[in-house]
Amino acid sequence: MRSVMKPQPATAAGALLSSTHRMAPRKSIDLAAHLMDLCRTAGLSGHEAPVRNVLRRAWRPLVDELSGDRIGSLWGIRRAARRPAGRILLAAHMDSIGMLVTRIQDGFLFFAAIGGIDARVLPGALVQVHATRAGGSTALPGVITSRPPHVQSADEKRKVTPVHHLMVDLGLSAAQTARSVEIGDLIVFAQPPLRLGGDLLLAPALDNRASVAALTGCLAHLRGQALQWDVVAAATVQEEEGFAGAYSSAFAAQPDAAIAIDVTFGRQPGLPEWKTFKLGEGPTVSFGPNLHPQMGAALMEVAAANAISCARDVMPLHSGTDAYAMQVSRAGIPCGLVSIPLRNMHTPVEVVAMADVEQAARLLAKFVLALDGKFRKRLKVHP
Amino acid sequence: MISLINRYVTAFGPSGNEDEVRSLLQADLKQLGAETQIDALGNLSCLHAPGKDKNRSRVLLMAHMDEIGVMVSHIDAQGFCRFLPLGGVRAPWCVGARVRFGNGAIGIIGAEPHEGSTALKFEDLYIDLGASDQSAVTVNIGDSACFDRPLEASGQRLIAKSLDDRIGCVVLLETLRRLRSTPHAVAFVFSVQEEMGLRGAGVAAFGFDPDFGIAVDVTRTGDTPKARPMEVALGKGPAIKLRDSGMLADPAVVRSLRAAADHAKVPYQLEVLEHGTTDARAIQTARSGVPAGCISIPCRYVHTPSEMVDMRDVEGAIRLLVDLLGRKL
Repeated sequence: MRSVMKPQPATAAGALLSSTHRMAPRKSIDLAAHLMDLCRTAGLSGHEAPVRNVLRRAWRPLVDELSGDRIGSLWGIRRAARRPAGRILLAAHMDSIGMLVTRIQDGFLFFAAIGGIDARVLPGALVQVHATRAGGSTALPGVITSRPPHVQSADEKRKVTPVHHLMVDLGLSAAQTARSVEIGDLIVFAQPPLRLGGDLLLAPALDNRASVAALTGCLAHLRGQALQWDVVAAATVQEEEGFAGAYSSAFAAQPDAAIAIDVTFGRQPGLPEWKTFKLGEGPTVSFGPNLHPQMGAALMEVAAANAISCARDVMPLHSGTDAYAMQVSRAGIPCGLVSIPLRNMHTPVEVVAMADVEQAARLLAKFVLALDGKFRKRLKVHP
Repeated sequence: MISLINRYVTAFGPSGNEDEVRSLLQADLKQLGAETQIDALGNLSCLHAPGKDKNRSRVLLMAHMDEIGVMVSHIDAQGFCRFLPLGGVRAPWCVGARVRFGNGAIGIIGAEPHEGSTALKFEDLYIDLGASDQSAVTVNIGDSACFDRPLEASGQRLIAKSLDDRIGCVVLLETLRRLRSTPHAVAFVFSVQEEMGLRGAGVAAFGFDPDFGIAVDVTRTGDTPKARPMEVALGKGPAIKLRDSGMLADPAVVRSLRAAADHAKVPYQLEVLEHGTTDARAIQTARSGVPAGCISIPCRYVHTPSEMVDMRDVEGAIRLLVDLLGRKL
């Protein structure tokens, strides 16, 4: 019974002291290719190992040290040039929504959702089933069945079929299915990443791999730059099912401030304007009770100083992000939230603009570079 | 073992009033020669750590002492008590149930005349203690009551109130009784207020700071007429949890539990529960995170006054845990 990662000391202070790795020379990163890589890789909540491995390779040349919390979150650590004036945690969750098998009947697989999947788009969706008995990593192609419109009653046509009435069809006989699949096997969307017109990218799991890619971009911007604060870039686990990785990473890293990076609602006709943001017009900075007003204000100042277009995102309630968990870790952590607008959230066809991912990366990097000896004091002021 | 279970399921212990259950456990643990501690919230723990190896793993086993119940919110002039649920009680399941207060007072739950298609709500229900008027009522606002039912055995099946999670407490007790040797430092923790949102589990896990955590609790089944699809049934062995609506079990913990079951030749089931969660969720997010899992005893009619489990599943869970703790993880 061993965690996928060596347990780390409960406080990160020890881990942050010694440098063990020399950074590779600077070269630019193709963020779109990196993001498509991340989206092609499975990493459902609680089973993030594949995407963690991709990320580990991408981050190794960008950071002083790779580390993590005890339940699988990955940390890329950059150390301050001198005695650090503070420590900031940048957290983007790497887990994605998906499904898992609950019952096998006559060769068909019943399933449950991991995370808040939009059940309306499931019938007819292409999936891959990671069949344990067929050798673990074997991904069997399948499709989520739908009842033909011809046999639906008028009442049924008006309703969304609940997830527990849907099935996956692998095209295998009952005996073959029972031989390869078992309860709890993971089901992921088979939609490959796709470049749409202009600057847009379509893929499953862009919530929240788009933000993870922004974190990678931020680390790339920071490479070779002298920092006044220690930086812990964390790809957290299990955000979609209760923020487990944000609780554990915030506790272990003990930061002076934290920023969650997540997605927000992209604008399209029929959605309220005040809670949606046009794709391609930059990331958003959030304001609300989960977030520290000084973090929001400082992020907006940095955006303005660096000509980064950035809208204010109002979150009057639960932010629904890692910031919710990090805010109440230990004695409380001032949190900010940077979001990337995304259309079709929690479907296999999520869409973002690459420019927003790149601008989010720049905003985070410029913010980290602006952190100085006075910022901790500023966080004590509650306007 | 039936008489042991009988003592635990008939004890009074709605969330926040776990004293009676805790006293029973303290006495039984003392008989096993174990030392116990009680933390600020009332969690009872017993550290079993033979040997002196400094590098051994710290393993946390947890079952909760509290049960669902009701709390009096208003007493009218005629002596009828209005009440609120403690934990996940459903109003339609309450009608006709008998409840017992800490002072022994017994009441029955009555319903106002109810028409139309809407479900019964707690506002429609009251507790009748048989009092002639308000002055004859022996309980106060804020007093809690549990359901009152005796334990019945029907073949391998047990029917009782509060099998959620007294059966888990018994599994932990029996595991400790049968455990011959372990290379680990094992904390057996009996938590408070699970039904109120895992209130005790989080602080107990923080206090012990485990390397691995396992909750023992009940789970729903899919083996009753028109049940939601769920591949767990009574009598087919303990269930190793893969996920519930609050937690995804750590894949490495799941592997270890399955290996222990195979090694001990205990038949087991894999559990995917869509609604509900356990103390394992709070253990998982304690401190810098704890790889966590859960062994579930399949149980029909969870959170009603009559819950049902199968003794073969209980026995299997004990054997699985004894095997798991006996070896390196």
